[in-house]
Amino acid sequence: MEIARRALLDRRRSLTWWIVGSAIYAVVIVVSFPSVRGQDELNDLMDDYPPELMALFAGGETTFDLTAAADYLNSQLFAFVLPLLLIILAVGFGAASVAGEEERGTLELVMSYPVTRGRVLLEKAAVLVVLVAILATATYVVTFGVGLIVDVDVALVDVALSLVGQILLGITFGFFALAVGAFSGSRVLAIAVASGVAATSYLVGSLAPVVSWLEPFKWVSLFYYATGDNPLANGLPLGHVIVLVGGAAAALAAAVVGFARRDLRGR
Amino acid sequence: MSTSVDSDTAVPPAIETRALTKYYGTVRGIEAVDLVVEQGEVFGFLGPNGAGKTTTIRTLLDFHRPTSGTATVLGLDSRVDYVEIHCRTGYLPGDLELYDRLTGRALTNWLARLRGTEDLSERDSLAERFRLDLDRPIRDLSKGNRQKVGVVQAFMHMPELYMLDEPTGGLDPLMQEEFRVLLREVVGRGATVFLSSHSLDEVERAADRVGVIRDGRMIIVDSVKALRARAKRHVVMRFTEAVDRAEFANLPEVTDVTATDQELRMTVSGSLDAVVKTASRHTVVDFVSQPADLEEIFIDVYRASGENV
Repeated sequence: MEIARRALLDRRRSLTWWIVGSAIYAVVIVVSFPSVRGQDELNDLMDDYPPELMALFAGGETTFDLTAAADYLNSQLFAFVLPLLLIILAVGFGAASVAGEEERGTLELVMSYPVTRGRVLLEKAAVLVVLVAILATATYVVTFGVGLIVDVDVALVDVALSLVGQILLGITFGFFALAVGAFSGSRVLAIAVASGVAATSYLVGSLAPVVSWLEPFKWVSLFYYATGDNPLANGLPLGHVIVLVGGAAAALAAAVVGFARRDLRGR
Repeated sequence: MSTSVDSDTAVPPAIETRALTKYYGTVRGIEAVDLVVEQGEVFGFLGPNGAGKTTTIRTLLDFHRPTSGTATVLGLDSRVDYVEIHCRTGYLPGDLELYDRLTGRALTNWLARLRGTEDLSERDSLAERFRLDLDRPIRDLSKGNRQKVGVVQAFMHMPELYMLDEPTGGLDPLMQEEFRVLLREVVGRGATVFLSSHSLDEVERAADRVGVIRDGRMIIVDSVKALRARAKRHVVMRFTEAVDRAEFANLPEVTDVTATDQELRMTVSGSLDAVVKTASRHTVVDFVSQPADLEEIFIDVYRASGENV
């Protein structure tokens, strides 16, 4: 696991800043909760909002109770902001770790060592999983740790299921970027395609509940499976987990195949 | 694939390619390259930039896949057995890019672990020998010192085969000399060196045999001596009095004779003997004989190979 170890060591500083940033955001969100709790007029206010707009910013939720912890945290943090952070981290690493290194020329020396292409790719993928899992878990620990102090009560099992969904979501888009990079050798293309797909996926996932012609297409959105039905309140169906794991596995398999079959880019 | 090795005891060539061809789409990389590098020799792989040197090396190391043809390295199929080939090969890329936030020590420690070894004694002695400070971040190193890191990592596991792409770029003359000594040492213990360069000077000082590649095709493989002998030389002579150019113009293997006052210039292919003997009839003030530069030699060899076809 030398390649993974190296990649992880190289990222430890930037990962620390990612954690600091998202933890600060999470703390602000959580400590604001007590001032929202019991303010029923907030919910009345939102009744006047166009449901499409609400859905867009709350990951497809249109009827939520801002004064309940699970709905509040979902709409403010877990439906949009945290997935966004995780996907940026994962797509950035997925694109940089193979295609990016190839373009910079640093991969050539590594590939001249006794390592298979599959091993290089899988070790980078393992690091991607670790990075996403650490950032997501740290954010959850901070959120619900501080939440204990301000009496946020969400069932621990739902917290855990929600976390699983977030991690799988980040990993899948990260693997997708890895795969585009592995096929093309282009970091920019990997970022562009993966971000585009993620953005489309988010739009479809969050608008499908309120835009009738989109409704039949909700199943193409990974957000629908990971965050669609507020896992903090409703848990995460096993079927959704299977779809997410399957998506990640398919992207990873494509990445391995794509990387093994082509010429490495030379500088 | 079949090789020329008939018995198990025979040593396979360090590198053997058969009609090795690489196209990038419709862009020519290399074309039908046949090459045999025997174990224990320094083979100079010479050609202008863009001729296909790096393409050949990258194909031998399985970074690029041949369009057609085959290659074996140390008797192993370049496509199938690339991990073992990499195990037994030290590679110095032409476009060397290192993880430049690391120190030379951290990088080479890590690279050694990639080979599954903890033995760093050779790394340390190489660093000392080339006066490389292993404790500075690579981004703070000069081009020459980065190149030394590249040399150290290629040599520190004492492989059987060295694939070196423009190895002395950035090294100062003293270190270049040290590098040549090092090449002699590794060949002395039976290793093979495949030395790619666009500099005839670099190759002829280090190599036993030379292959010249141009526009993706091998145009000649010969010993350094023989290649030099085929090369033209530019001769400039100065005498105490004016000398008739006709005296030299009619000599065999002499062309392009021009005379200005007491100075004569000419191009000589082959031996200088006749020129020297003719010159000795006069009082010679100065005699300069310069080998034609590489491009001229290429053009010559290229023409010759074209005529032979």
